[in-house]
Amino acid sequence: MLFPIESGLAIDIRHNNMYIGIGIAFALLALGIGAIHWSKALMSDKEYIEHRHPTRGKDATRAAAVQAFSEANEDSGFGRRAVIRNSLIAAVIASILPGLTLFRGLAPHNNSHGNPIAGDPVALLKHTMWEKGMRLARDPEGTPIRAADVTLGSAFHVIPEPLAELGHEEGYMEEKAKAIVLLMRLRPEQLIEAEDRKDWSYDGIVAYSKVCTHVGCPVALYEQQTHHLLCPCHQSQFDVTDHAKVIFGPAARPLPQLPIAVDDEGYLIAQRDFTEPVGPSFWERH
Amino acid sequence: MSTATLKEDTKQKPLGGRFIGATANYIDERTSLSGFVKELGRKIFPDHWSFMLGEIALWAFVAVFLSGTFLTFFFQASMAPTHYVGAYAPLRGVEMTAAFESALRISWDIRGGLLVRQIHHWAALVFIAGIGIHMLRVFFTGAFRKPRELNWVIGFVLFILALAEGFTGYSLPDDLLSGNGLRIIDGMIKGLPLIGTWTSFLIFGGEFPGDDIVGRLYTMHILLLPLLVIGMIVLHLMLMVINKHTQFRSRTHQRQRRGLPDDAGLHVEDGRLLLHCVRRDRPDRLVLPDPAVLGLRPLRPVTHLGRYAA
Repeated sequence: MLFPIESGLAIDIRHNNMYIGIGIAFALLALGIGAIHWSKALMSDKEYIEHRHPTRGKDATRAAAVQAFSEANEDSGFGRRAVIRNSLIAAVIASILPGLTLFRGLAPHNNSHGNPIAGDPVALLKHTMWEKGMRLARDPEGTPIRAADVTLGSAFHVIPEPLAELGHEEGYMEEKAKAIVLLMRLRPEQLIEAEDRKDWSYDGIVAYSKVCTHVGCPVALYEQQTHHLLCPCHQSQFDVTDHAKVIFGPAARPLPQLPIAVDDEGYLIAQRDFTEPVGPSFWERH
Repeated sequence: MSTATLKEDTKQKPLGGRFIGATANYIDERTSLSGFVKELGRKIFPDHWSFMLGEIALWAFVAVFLSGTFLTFFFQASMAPTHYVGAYAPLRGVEMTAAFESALRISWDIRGGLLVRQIHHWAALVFIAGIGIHMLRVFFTGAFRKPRELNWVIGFVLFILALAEGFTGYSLPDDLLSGNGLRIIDGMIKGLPLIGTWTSFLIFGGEFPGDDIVGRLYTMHILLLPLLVIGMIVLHLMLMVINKHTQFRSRTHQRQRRGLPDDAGLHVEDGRLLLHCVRRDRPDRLVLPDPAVLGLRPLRPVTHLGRYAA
């Protein structure tokens, strides 16, 4: 067989694609050159003239069309029988409406997959899987993070520890899409903290939602020197030293902060779920 | 055979020999096709390269259609979890969706698969770029004015449909780019007043990302949108034939169109467009193709991007 790829070697794959591609390119180029040469060498270069006609139909044609229309109207009584005609139109429109109800089936109903809020998008959007005492773990391994591991200037991509145990069927992706967090350690004196959020950080370690408040991309780029978080999709920037407030770009709100603490064994834990919905705005958010 | 028929045969003297003559006669007696050929066979086509821009878009669509059809033979539009076991060692044994697994398989394990994926992607780019440049030409030469307003609107609808095809196709491999692209769309839908939250919920079959979106976009990408595109192209071309091409301003040509006959659809003019580019532009101004054109570097390396992992 020509250009075998059975061996599974990367170089075979490359050669296979490249030679087929070059073959196609050469064949098409030859066809193109042939067509051009034909037109240049064999065909006359004479200009032809074609007269324009208005697109509008001739008056006689239009009169005949009107005639046909009125005859059809006369025959069917479409214009005369207004009540019957209008009820026909209404019935045709009404016949479509029951079909629309079928589309409710696009989304799950209550209690599907054993989740009591599965049929309620607003309830789902307002909660993540973070709970009091849940350990912060590395994404994607799920190994818990000690406060001591988070050295000054470092950043961690974080998931809730139990998430790593969830299977695909148990909503791993859906839970992860809401619960992802970025963890950073700054010098405590660099942090500007509101009175009610004083105990949300631990020794300069802060955790913020990684889901951009603009349209939901992962705010995964941490500028260690400036303490800015950057969203790669639309360049929103958030100031980690000041409640992740928006300092640039289209995001409308600061990133929600996850209140954290440390348990008896020195692992970082969540104090509770986020205090506001994560991610982009939605109508029922407030 | 009767004498009358013999007489007719000798009188007609069909072009191109007995077989072609007999075939043409067979078809015409059953379809009246000779009328169409009479009207359209020597249809005059303007001798200016800018009238080919729309055709670039048209033939790019043909390339997208053919390469896309090939890809459907191998692509699995499913978000069910599976494990890749193909040739690409770094991802062997990794859990991923069936969609991403089949995109990998097309790229690494199917003969010429990566090439066809690249042709599909490149032709899609040329399709959209061709539409854009064609629209600029139509706009700046005023070719959208009466009686061609409807065709401008149809062309604009085609542009939107092409973008929709682009977006749905972008979302299918379920790699990192797909996931982030979908997440942006999800965020935009959620931002719609009143209906946003439920609309997102219905489209994704529950919470983002869910298990349904790739399959649903696939139906859009290979059935509904292509049907609409083809239907709109047919309308577009019919109106173009009815209204004829526009003509550059000139005193003598106000009521005429000049050009070369296109000889029954044999568009050697397409080749001439290429010749114009080569003849008029200095070689150093020709843009060299990206190495990806030759398949030396993939345009959308799903392999390096990896699966979507939120």
